[in-house]
Amino acid sequence: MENRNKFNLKHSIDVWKTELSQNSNMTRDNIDELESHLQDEIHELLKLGLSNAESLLIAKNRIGNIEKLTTEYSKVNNEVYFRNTITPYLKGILFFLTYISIAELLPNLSILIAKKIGIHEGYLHLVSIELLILLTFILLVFFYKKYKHGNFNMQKLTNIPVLVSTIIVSKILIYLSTTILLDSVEVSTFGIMGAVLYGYQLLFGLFILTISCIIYYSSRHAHKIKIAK
Amino acid sequence: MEKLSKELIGASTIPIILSILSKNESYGYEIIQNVKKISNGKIEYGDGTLYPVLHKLEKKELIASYWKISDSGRKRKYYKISDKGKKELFTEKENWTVINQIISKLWKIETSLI
Repeated sequence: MENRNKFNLKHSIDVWKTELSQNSNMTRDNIDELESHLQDEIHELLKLGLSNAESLLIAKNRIGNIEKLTTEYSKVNNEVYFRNTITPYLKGILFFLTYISIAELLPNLSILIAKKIGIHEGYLHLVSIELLILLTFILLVFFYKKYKHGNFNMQKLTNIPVLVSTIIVSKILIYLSTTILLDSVEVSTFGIMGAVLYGYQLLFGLFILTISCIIYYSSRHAHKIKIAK
Repeated sequence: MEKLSKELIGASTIPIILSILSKNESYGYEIIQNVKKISNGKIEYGDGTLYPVLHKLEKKELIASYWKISDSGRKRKYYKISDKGKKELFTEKENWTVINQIISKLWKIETSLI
C-alpha cells in the first residue's frame, strides 16, 4: 500500500510537471525548481502526519495554479513566451517546405524509374503523378493509423533540425539528379514534369484547404476555436 | 496576525532577499521560511511568486544561481549574492536608513507636539 502511495505521488508530480511544461512561458529549469519547492513542502506536510495525496494537494495550492504562475513568470520570461508562440508557426512552415521539397524531387525520381524500366517518355507524366498521389496516400494512411493507435508523435514529426536537414538534402538531390538527367533527357520532358508537379501542388493545396475549412467550421460550431493557440 | 501591506512588502523584497543571501547561500523554500520566521509571519511570500523575483535579480546580476545536491540528497537550485549585489545591498541599506531617520524624526516631532 505504501509503495502504491509512493508511486502515485511520483506519478501525480509528473502529471503536474507536464501541465506546467505545456504552459507557454516556463522553462524546464523553472519547472525543476518549482518541483524541488513542491518536494520541500510535501516533506514538511508529511512530517505533520498528512497523507501523500493531502500533502500534494496543499503543496500545489500553496504554489498556485497555472494561470497565476504564468502571470508571475511572464514578468521575467518574455523571450520564452515569444519563442514558444512563434515556434508552432515556424514548424508548420518548415513542415510544408519539407513536403514540397520531397514532392519536387519525385518527378526526377519518376524519370529515373521510367528510364530504368524502359517506359516511353510520353508516359512520364502519368508515372510521375501516380507516384506523387501514391506517396501522399501512403503517408496519410500511415499517419492516420498512428493517430488512431495513439502513438502519433507530432514532436518527432516536426523536429526542426530533422525538417531543415530533409529540406537541404532534398534540394541537393534535386540539383544532382537534374544535372545527371539533363545529359540523357530532353529539356521539354522537364517542362512536362514541371506542369505535372504544378497540377499536383494544386490538388494538394485544394485538399489542405478543404481540411482546413472543415476543421474551422466544425470548431466554430462547437464554440471551441482559440485563435491564439 | 496582521500582515504588512503589499506595497511595503514589494518595496522591501530586494533588500530582504539580498540581506538573507549576504549571510549564506540559500534556496527558494528556505528563503520563504526564513523571511516568515524573521518577520514573525508579517511577511509571507507566495510560493510561486518568489521565484520570478529571484530570476529578475539574477538577470540584473545581483545574485547567481547553481544546482546543488543538498545534504538531504535532493537536487536544489541555490542562490548566492554577487559583488554587484553586495554593492546594491549597501546602497539599499543607506536608503532605508535615510527613510528610517526621516520617519523617526517626523514621528518624534509629532509625539512631542501632542
